[in-house]
Amino acid sequence: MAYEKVNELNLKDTELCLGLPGRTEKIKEEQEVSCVKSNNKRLFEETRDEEESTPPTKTQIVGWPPVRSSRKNNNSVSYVKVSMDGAPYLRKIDLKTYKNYPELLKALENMFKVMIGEYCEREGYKGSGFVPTYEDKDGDWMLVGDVPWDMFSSSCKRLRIMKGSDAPALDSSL
Amino acid sequence: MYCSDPPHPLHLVASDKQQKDHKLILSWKKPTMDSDPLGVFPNSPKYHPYYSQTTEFGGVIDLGLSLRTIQHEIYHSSGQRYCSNEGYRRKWGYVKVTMDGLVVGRKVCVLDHGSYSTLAHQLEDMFGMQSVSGLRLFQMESEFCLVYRDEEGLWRNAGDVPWNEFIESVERLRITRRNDAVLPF
Repeated sequence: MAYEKVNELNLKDTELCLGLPGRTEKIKEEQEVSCVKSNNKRLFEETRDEEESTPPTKTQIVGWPPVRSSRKNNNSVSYVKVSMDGAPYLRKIDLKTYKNYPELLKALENMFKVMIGEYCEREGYKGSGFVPTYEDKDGDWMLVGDVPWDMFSSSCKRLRIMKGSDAPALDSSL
Repeated sequence: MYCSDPPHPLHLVASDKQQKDHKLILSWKKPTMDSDPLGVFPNSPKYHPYYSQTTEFGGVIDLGLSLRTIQHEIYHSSGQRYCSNEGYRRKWGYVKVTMDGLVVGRKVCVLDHGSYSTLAHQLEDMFGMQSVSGLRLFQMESEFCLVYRDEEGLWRNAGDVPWNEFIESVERLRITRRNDAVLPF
């Protein structure tokens, strides 16, 4: 029995001797694998970082122009509503495209197929049957043509072509 | 010499071309700029993105400057509009004129007149057709009277103060009937 045990021990020792080289090799392989994995991870990180960096730049670049264009539009365009008594629908015009009253009145005549006539301080379009009026910044309806063009265009918020009979109408009509 | 040269071409390349391959090359070259490549090698991939982000942040700053430029423009335009409106008021002397019962108001330039009588004539032309007998402002037998709102927002009877004082304080005119005028506003 002692001999058997000794033999077993010897066999085990022998096995151990055989096993050591194998284990050592496995450990080395694992290290290599881990190195490879870490390399791959680094590559992934690089690609991810690069991918993440480019989109924000593009987004920011895209984000700014609309603001500028909208500002430019606001500065260079001045659309106001135009309504006419009896007309079924409203129109909109850009006051910036006209330089003076005659141009504006001509455009309104073409738009609504009516004859407004010329401005007169005394009668103010009386006789033509139509009275062009505008709502200013204070919300008051004023007759078109009393003030200089620049003053009118900067304070006009809305236009309305009233019929001659409606112009002197009472406040209750509004 | 060798250390200072690389940054410029790299930056130029980054600004000129936006291809990933070039960025990869940049990332590989940057470690060489450092003194200890072996030690920094594991960290260089992480450092590179930060550096590029910093560059992008610089770009963001430029965009911010653009935004400030826009804000400045807006502020300037707003100020200009306000000044221009005020300039019109002071320069032209236009005030609104409304008549009780009428929807549409008119505007007159008080600086074009030298007295109450000429103003009354203009208002007669503008609103006289609303009454059979005309307005006949400033006359005893007239049923209409002219009131104005002064710079303090108070409604006063036109004609009480000298013309020069009137044109300096008048902000708005109103043609009302005498009976209504008696009522307090």
